[in-house]
Amino acid sequence: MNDQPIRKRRRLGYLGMLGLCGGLGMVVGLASALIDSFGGAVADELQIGLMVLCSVALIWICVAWWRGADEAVREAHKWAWYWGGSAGIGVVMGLLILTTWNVIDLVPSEMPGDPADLIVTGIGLTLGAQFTGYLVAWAFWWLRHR
Amino acid sequence: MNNRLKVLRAERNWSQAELADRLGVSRQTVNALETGRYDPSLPLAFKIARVFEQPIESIFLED
Repeated sequence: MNDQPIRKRRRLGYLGMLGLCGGLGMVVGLASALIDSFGGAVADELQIGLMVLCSVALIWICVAWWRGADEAVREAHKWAWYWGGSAGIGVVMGLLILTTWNVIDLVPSEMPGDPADLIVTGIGLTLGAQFTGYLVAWAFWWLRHR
Repeated sequence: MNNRLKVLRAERNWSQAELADRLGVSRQTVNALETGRYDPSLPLAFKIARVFEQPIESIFLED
């Protein structure tokens, strides 16, 4: 019988990863507000630098989490991202096509008039649908493999 | 694919969490393996065989 002592590896769990990312977001938000108030002439440059640092840190956290995740956990996320993300964006595309053909009317009465705001709305809608699909597919994968 | 993981684990009085620690995977993964609804990769199958000190073909059985 294999009774060798168990080597426990400390892993960054899913909630730990989300917590770290959320905490980092709060710190960066606070720093960004301080730069806005006291950054003076170089505020824009400082903001860009802060965003680059934040992006690098977020990627590092996600890579650390991914390396610690086992194969079933990874498989669930890959499956969920592909199928859930695709389904989510498919739904948005379908609604967009139906709206364009005037089959349905989903355009809110108060649409942002500024093109930049429209682009941000579109990105938000797409990412939101993809993320929702991802969460549903992720839960479905684990329910199916219980 | 069927497997004898649950039986082998029970013979050793290991909990799912203990087996998960020995394999370096999560308890949820052990549960998915035991129910036969998730087939492990070859490296993990070899690891399982090493932990139970049995050949792979005596642990994993074709349907």
